[in-house]
Amino acid sequence: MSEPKKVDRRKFIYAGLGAALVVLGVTALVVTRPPEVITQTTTVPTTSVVTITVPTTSVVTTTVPTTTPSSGKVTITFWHGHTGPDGKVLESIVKDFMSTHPNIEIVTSAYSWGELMTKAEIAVAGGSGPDLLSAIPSVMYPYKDILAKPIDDLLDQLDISQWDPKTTLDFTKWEGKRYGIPFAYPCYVTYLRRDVFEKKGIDLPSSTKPLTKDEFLNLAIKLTKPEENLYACGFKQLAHHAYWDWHTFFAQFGVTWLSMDLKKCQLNSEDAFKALQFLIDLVEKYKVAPKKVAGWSDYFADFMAGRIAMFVHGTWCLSDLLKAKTPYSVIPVPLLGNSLEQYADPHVLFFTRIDPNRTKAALEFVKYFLSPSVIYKWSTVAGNPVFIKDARNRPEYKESNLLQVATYEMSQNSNKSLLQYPYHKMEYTALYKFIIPTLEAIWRNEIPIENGLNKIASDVERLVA
Amino acid sequence: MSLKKFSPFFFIIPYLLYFSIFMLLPVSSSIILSFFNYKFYAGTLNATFVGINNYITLVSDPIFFIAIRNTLFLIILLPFFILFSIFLAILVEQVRFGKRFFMTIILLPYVIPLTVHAIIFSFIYQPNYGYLNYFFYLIGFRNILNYAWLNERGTALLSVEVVWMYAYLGYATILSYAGLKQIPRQYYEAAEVDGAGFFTRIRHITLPLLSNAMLYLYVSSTIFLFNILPLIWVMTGGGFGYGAGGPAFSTYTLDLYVYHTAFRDSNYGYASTLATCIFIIIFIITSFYFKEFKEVRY
Repeated sequence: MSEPKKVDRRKFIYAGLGAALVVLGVTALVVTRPPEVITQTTTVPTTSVVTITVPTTSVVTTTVPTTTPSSGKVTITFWHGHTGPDGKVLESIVKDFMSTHPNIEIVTSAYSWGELMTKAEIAVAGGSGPDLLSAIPSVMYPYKDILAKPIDDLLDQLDISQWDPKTTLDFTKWEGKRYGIPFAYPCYVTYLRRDVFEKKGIDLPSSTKPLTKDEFLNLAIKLTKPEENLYACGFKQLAHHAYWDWHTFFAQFGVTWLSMDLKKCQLNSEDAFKALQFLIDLVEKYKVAPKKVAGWSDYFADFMAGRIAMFVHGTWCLSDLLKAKTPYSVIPVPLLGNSLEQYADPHVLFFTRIDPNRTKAALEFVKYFLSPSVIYKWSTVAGNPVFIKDARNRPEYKESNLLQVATYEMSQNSNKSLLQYPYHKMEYTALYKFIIPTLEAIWRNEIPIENGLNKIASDVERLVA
Repeated sequence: MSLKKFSPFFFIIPYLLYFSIFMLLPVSSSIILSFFNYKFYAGTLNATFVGINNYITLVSDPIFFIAIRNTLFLIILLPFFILFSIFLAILVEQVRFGKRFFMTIILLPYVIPLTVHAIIFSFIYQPNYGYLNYFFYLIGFRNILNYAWLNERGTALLSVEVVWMYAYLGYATILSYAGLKQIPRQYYEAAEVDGAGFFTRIRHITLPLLSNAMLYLYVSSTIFLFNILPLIWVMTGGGFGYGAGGPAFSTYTLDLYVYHTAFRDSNYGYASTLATCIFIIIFIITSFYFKEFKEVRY
């Protein structure tokens, strides 16, 4: 019997290399082939005009019907970023809805806010994306007409007289079209340790009138006792929370991160400087905040442990405070500038409108969810004030000190101080790549404030250009 | 006859297909994309051939060099990790009873996802109520109380790498243990007869004869280290991954930079350039390992 013919090693390697070259060639052809594009012109609400090219293979047209013709049952998917107790109460609302609407099934998925839209975009491109999204308005600009379709025709079916302030519906208005339904207003408030105030014999400040700069400083000085390891407040120096804290105060002077023509960064303005200097002075000059470089969880732990008496942070802290049975009270954020502004990034419902039947079913759910007798449940658990007027008249809502303060703040500024307003498609890059690292360096005294702010402005302007 | 001649190729076709589709194609695409300004943003695609422009940008990109510095710092600490895993493997080999029990305990962290480790260690490192500070407090280092391990630039990266080492220690130990078992006993017996002590035997027999296992360990650990992203994603950045890599870029690694450039900045061309650089760096480092560790035959 003859031995099987051995393959020469050299031939084997040549064959492998040949295969690799073929794959490389095919890849090069596929990758470098220019996509067929259709061009449409879109006007930004300023005077500038940008040209947007949309591939013909656009995800917009992808449809995967999940309607079962025989049973008439429609299955819709609802993606959101409510991963805490707000998500749990949302799930129970979805269950209640399905029990009263047997012809609609809702599959929900919760993702972190940072990943929600990226994942949704990929999923929709693959034909399996959500029909309904709960997100933030700043994602609307980059995803409008892709994941957020115009909804003016759907709005007719909602009782929009319930929205208060009325202007909130304009958060998602772009070139005359509305792209989403804003429903909640998570925002910064000032939490107080009631027990610390009682122990020091200091009256709790008014919950309907913000403290002025001087009032806040006087109170802070009275509360601070370093020898007892007690400080009046703690503002964050790390990550995006450092920016959110700063934003609260520079927004009070009317400063926005970018000018309305999307060209000039305003973060090196005199008012932005003043706002940041105030936060630094609390540590360095007045010594009413601990001298450390820390993030939100450190300061929240300090507040929970009674090491700081006042903590400026979001309404979403409610569930943790209740769980820990922390004796707290809430007042508005201090007023440093001309008007009461603070960090806020509302929740908005977006429709992907992949399929008409599913859109109809999604709208049914939205009508149910935003009805005053349902949305108040979500609001009181999540701690986020809502725009629906009658929900705010419910006794449970009125009893909540937190919701009352947040609603007061909302009524003061709900049309002006949204985070990252005006919207720009590179806002995440600007924020995380340029603004936050430099802000952290300023807090560490590695760069003088003025130089740091100028650096931020030049980096951001280069980026948006 | 002619079919017989090509039969070996038929056997490897399934793997070649897998390799081509899932390895060669993405890598080739990435290399080709690195010569393009390829931006995809919310349905808007922009692809322009820019030659080596992305590579020119790279050499003047300060964040790239910070990412390289941090990644190399992680790799420099690898020998300590590998030596410790060998030390543990030797200890396990020395025990008379319960070898499997100890190996299971050591291997346990490896089967837990990195994100879970990241969450647990975030609590351990917590400045105010974290176990680590409390431990130091108990043993007399009172000044360390309230020290924020993940917030300080000097300790953040090291703190993350310690978690990585803890997670992969079981993997490295089990490989070292398998390597130890392959060393013929006669070598040790002969050395013992010649009067060699425990440490002399380790130095002159164990470590040189573990060369094969160590080569594999170094190569695989380096590759794993280039995928440290989940730990950095969860442990730094205040909860939102888009801001991971802080404070002030002190934990910013190459894989994170690729991810941010692609999926946050939507700049796929430049991200491909960075990915190609990672490929080249890993190639250079592993070539160095292959040169340094000679193959040992018993």
